[in-house]
Amino acid sequence: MTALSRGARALFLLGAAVFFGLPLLWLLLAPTRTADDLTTGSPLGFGALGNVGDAWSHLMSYNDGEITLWIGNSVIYAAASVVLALLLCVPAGYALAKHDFAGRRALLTLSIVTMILPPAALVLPLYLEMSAVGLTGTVWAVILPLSFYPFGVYLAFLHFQANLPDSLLDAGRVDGASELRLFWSVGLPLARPAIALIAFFGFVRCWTDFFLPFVMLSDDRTFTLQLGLMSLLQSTGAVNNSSGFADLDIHQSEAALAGLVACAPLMIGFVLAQRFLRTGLLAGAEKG
Amino acid sequence: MKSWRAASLAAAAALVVSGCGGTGGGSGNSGDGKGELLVWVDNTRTPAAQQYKKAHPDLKIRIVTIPPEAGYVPTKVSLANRAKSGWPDVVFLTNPAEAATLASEKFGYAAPLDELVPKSVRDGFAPGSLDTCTFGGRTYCLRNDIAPTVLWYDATLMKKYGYQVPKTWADYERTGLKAAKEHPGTIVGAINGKYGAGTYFGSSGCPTRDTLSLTEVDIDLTRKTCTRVADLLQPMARAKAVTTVVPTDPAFAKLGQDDRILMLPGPAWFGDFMFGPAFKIPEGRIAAAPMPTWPGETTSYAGQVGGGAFLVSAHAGDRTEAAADLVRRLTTDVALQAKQPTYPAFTAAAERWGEAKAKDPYYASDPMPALSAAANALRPGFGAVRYEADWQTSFNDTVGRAADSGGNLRKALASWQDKLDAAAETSEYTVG
Repeated sequence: MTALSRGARALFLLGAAVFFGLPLLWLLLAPTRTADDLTTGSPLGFGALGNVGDAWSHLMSYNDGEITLWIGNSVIYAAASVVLALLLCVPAGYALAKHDFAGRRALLTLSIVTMILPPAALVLPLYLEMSAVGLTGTVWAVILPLSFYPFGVYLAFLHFQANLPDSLLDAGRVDGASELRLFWSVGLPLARPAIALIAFFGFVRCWTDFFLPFVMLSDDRTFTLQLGLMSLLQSTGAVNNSSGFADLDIHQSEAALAGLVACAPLMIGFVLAQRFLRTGLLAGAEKG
Repeated sequence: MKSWRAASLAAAAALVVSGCGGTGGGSGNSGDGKGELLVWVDNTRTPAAQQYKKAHPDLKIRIVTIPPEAGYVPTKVSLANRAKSGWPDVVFLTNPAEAATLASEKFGYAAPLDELVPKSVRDGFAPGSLDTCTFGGRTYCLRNDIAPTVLWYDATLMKKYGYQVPKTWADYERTGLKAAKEHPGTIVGAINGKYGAGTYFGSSGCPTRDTLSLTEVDIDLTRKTCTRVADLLQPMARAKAVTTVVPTDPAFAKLGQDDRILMLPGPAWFGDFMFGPAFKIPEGRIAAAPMPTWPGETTSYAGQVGGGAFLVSAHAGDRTEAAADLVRRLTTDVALQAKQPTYPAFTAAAERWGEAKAKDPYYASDPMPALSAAANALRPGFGAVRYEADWQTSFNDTVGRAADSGGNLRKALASWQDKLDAAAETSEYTVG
């Protein structure tokens, strides 16, 4: 590689890093600064750590600290949906990968079709369905639709098909193990990376989902964090001085802190799960 | 190995159970005959609603804080209409134009208030302020606050430059052109979206949104009340004395920080929420004057940019009386209204609200004479329409674009008319 091409490569990488990194850096620095400083000061200046605490207490001044309720709601919705999704996806993927039954191919095709269907397209029929059974406005109106996760079924299917040899299951059958026992004692222990992968992607999906809770929930006390933040930021001068006219000290710094709070669980989840994620993503990539 | 599987199953059960009762869930729905009055208000109106609840311990009231998002209430009501349940009994609109949607036959949500709120009470609102709630002679909402326009100006800059506060639009134009020439970069107005259309065309009485009924609207931009606005703005747009930058844009705030805002005809709430917090204009400089008068008129007619309104649901059933009482109390209680951030629609409350404003050291002089004069001189004909968003964007796409490019504003009116006609027809209006 010539010095010129090395230089061009370094320049490209540096340019990309600056382009993608600057907004993130700004977001990280913004809560340390006051609203006035953000408007008039240097774009990437550092304020004071004390301002982060002030920004948080300002966020807490909205509806008596309702933001903590929204965080709790988001955790409950996401965790319950992920758990239900795992309970449904893993056995479904196992059955599709390891059992031949009537309609198997049709089910698999249907899983793939529903996987690529835009979620927003299903929201209205889901709303009517939930309304018919009296669940709109309740936590179930969010948890139940989110626990339907065809992508998770497909991931589990791929994992079991690539990593669980039929001979292993046959050996178990010879030893007299029932099908349920084979799934529980052979399939499931070997599926830990896949479970982590499905759980992580499922959690990201639930945590960041906005439209479904927006349609299903009307009471601010049941809002998710994403939905609550919309309400909070629009009710104050955080983004627009003409919005809301609330007498609250919530401005751009608080909006940036709220954004970081909304991202934090995903970042933490990614760091904790990355060992499983790497294993899971590469599982079956090379098969001897 | 077994332990983690058992633990995960236990966690699953616990989470599902906690999900069941964790946030209380609640129906979140009313209109279900349970007798609970469901009230949707924005965060700013929540304390007043809670105060009402406290004062009425016999009533079961559930207060929900809704986002002041344009379209939020119509979207939710539309869903409730499909599900045939879940309507709030009382709702606060941060955009009163949505009353036109909610009262429409298609939505059938807003209840007429003529029998529920006595005429004597309705007569206590600022003259013409309930026009945006009135369709075909029936009143479908009560205004909480109004946003009449006044001529805001920087008294310090005016004095420094040796200018007089204009009393007529001709004076305003002369002063604006002079300021642009003598102090390049100085602006005397903003012509963007509702700030341009509501302030200038609204105060002139140009029929861009005159509702004759829920299904008929008068739009005629060939009238003198429209062409005179185009003629007024034409030279000022060319001289850059008026800007198409929206006042909520940081670029507009920069104009304030650089002492470039000499005058700004705009809504009453600009005084408290824009000049200080956004434009950073220091205390003791900003003052309000009545809007300039149009040729042949002596009244300083005001346009409108904003405000809020309360509606009662047509599905409230036996809670209708209680819902109407809450709306009446929240909009007319002098003590409650005096504490609200923007100009009260109820005249007696506005007077009390103004007592604090008159003493506000932020202003160079008492803004209340101009504000109350504006509240009492709302230009008739400015109605709530279902094409509010298009009304703003079409203004920017035609008049705003022509102003930016040095084009002919009178010709732009013809394009605006076409777009308004199309938007109105799409919203199921017959254009008169």
